[in-house]
Amino acid sequence: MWLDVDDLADGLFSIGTSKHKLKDFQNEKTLKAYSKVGTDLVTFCLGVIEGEITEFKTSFTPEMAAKGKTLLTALHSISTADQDRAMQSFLFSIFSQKRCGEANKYSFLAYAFLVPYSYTEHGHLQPCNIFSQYFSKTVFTGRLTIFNKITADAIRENKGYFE
Amino acid sequence: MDVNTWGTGLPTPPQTLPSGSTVLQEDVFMDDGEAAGGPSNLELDVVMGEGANDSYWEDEDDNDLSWEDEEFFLANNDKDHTNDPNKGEDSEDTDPPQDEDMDTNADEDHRVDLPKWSQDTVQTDEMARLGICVNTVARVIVCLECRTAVNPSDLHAHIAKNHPSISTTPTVHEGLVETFNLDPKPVGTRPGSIVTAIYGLELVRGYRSCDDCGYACKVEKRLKEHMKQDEGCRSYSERLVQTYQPKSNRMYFGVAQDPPGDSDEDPLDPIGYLKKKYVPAPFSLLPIQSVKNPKERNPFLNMERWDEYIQGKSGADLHFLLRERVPELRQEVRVCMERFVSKGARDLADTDHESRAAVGDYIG
Repeated sequence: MWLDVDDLADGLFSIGTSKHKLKDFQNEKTLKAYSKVGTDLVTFCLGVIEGEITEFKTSFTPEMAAKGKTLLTALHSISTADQDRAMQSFLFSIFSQKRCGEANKYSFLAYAFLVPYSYTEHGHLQPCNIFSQYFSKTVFTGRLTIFNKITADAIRENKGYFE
Repeated sequence: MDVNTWGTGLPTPPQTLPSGSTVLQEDVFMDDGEAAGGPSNLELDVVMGEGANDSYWEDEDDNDLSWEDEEFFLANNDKDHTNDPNKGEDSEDTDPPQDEDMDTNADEDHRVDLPKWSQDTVQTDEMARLGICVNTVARVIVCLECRTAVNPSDLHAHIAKNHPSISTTPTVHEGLVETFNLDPKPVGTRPGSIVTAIYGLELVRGYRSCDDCGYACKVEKRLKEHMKQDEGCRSYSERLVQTYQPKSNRMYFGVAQDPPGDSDEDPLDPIGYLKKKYVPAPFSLLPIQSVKNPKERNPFLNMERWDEYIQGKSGADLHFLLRERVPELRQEVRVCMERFVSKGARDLADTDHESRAAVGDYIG
C-alpha cells in the first residue's frame, strides 16, 4: 500500500508516532508496566530520603525531603487530589535535579535507582536491554511530570502552552 | 531416607495424620550435574554478557511487562546467545542449576527452615496427590512444592500451570472451601494474629513483628509507625515470620515457632550433609564482583562502571531493598502512581503534536 503525502499531512496515516503509543496506555498491561517502575522509583527515593536506604552514594536536596514528607502524609489522607498533588510535587523535585549528564550521575537520585533496579529484575545488566527499558519508563515518568508542571503553570497564568 | 515427593526438601508429615490420610514418599534423588553446574560468581556473567540467569528472577509482577518489552527482551537474549563464542557444547556448564531449592528469594539468606507439622494442618489422600495441605487456623491452602499459599479459586489454575502432571478439575477447591471454611481470598493478607507456623511455608528470621496483629517488618521505624496508627497494637518483638506469597509483594507475619534446634536434626544424616556441602549457593546470593581487567569488560561496562556502584551486594539484597522493603507503602504509592500515569498519558494524548514534541515526547 502506497502512502499519499496528503494523507500523511491530514493525519490519516500515522506510523509509529507517539500518539499511537500513548493510546497503548488504555491497555492495562502497559499502564501497569509503567506504573510499576514509577512506584519502585518513588518507594526507593522515599527510602533514601528517610534514611532507610544508605547503601548507595545518592544525594537529595532539602526540597526533595520536604516534598517526600508531604507525600507520605498525603498517602494516608483520603483526598486523592491531595495525593496527586503531592506525588506531582515530589516527582518534580526528583526530576528537576539536573545532574543526569554529569560525571557523577550516580548521585542523581533517579539514575541511582536505575542501576540496582535493573539488576534486581533479571540478575544482570545488558546494554540496550533491560536497563534501557527501565530507563525509558523512568524518563517517561519524568517527562510526564514536567509536562504536568508546564500545563498547570500555563493554565494558572491563562497562557497557551508555550507562548 | 524419606523426603517429599517433589524433592522440595519438606519434611515428611508424621504418621499421625487425620484418618484416611497418607503421604506419597520416595527416595531422594541427587543430580550430580545440578550440583556442579552453577556459576562460581557473577564475574562470568558480567564479562560474557550472559543472560542465562534470568530464570532466577521470576516474579509474578513480571506479567505486567508489555508485549513490546517481552519481544525486545527475547530478541536481545537470542542475540546474546548467538553472539557468544563460548556458548555451545559448554553452555550447560555456565547455566545456573535448575534446582528447585534455588528459587529466587530475597530472604533466602535469612531462611531458617520449614516449620514442623502442626495440629492445624490437614492433608487427606487427595490433597497429598495434589501436593497441597490445608491450615485450618489460617484457613489457607498451601502448595507444598511452591511453598506458597493459593487462593481456593486459583487452585485449579495453579496446579494446571505449575504442576501440569497432576490432573485436577476446575471445581477441585469447592469441597475444600466447604469442608474447612476457607478464606476465599487470603493471599496478599495476613492472618491477623500470631498463629502457629504454617506447615509448607518457609520460616524467615531477622524480622520484628507486632505481638498483637502479627504485622512484620525489618525496619523498626515502620513498626513504630504501625504502633502509632493502630491503637490495638502496643508492642513488637523479634520472631520468625512467614509470608503467603514468597515471590512477590511479600507481606510477612509473625508466627509462633521455636527455631529448629539441633536436636531436631539427625547429626548423622548423610544426605543432608552432602546436600549442604555440594549444592552451590543460589545465584541471587552471590556478591557482585567488579571485573578488574578493562579488556574483559564490555564497552558499556567500561563507560558506565555501574558494577562498582553495587559491588559486594547480592541480587537478593538489592531485590529486597528496592522492591520488597515496605510492601504496604509500595501498595499505597502504586495506586497513586497508576492514577498519575493514567491521567498523564490521557492528557498527553489529548494535546497537539507540537506541544508533546516540545516537552520531549518520548515514551520508549
